[in-house]
Amino acid sequence: MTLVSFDVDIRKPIYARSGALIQQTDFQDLLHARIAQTVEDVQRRTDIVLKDLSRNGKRISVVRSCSSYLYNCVGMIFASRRAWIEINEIYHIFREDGFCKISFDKLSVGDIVVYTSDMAPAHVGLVTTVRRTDGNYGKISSVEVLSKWGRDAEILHPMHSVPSTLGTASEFWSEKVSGGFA
Amino acid sequence: MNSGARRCLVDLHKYFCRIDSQEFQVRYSVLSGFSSLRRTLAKDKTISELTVIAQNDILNWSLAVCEHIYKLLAESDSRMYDESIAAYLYCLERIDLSAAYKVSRRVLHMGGIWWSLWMSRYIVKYVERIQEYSDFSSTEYINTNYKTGDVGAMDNSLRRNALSTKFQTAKQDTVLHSVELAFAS
Repeated sequence: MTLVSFDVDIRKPIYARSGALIQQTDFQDLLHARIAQTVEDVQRRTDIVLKDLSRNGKRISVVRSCSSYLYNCVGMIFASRRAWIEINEIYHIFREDGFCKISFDKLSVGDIVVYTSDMAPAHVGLVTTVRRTDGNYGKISSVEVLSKWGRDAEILHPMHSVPSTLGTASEFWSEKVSGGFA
Repeated sequence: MNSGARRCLVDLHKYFCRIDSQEFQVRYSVLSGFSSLRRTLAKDKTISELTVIAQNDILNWSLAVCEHIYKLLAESDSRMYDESIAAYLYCLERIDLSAAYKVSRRVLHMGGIWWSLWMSRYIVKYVERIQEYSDFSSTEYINTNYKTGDVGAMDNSLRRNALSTKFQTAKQDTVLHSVELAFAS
């Protein structure tokens, strides 16, 4: 297999399960090599973000990856880390992929957490761990999420441990409930 | 320069320090996209204060902000100031659209920056779309056509200001040009 270098970074269209086209960022050419970041850039910024987070009493579990490839939180979950998809597209994706909104107590591994700020979607994360007080049946005691922070690192973190500009975890979505797309 | 204008420039330095700080930058580097960036900038207290003090002396405010952007772009590690430059461009866009356009065109040629490149592309595209229409004086046109990936980003008075300063004076043009040349190398 040959890996495509940044110099010929041609992003391909992405489609939802329904066949609907998912809009990627308006300025695809900005993802080109000319502005490509280095791994060191990502590490440097991530270090600063994590220090700032810990000053606010928040901790993360693991920095999973510091790839310099430009993809965002939506691209991580819905485009296998290959695209930068504007966060505003998230409800379109949910609808076209057959996701349903669920309550927090129904949350399980593989579901999606939407972080909102002033009622607008600001960030998404993939649920990786759900701990309950009594095995599978009790109340949820903690949730871990994997998410990509902007163009920085991919991070495994407790659900509420995100920078304040990413908003608060307020919606939970799952595709396993509906069993099909709309 | 009157005392109000002098005061405005003194205050500016205080805001530049805040916006150039790492604390400011980390809040923005993690954002999920351009719409989030504009929304977050629209809510930022430092940004609103910086645009409010522009009302004292728009011309000098605008020149000082442009000069500061050029200074950051000329730094060897300008990529460290990516979020700050994007924030300044956003402020300029709200106060002095034509200066924002000029600086943005310069930013478009820079490498290693991300949010500021995105912001400058947005401004250039927006202004060029306006230029396609000959009726520049139509505030109504702007109000109804301003593409708001930025929810409520630009209030009406600031929008009017952006329009009124759009045709800038020859003095500003000359000074801006010399500032540009000074940092061109």
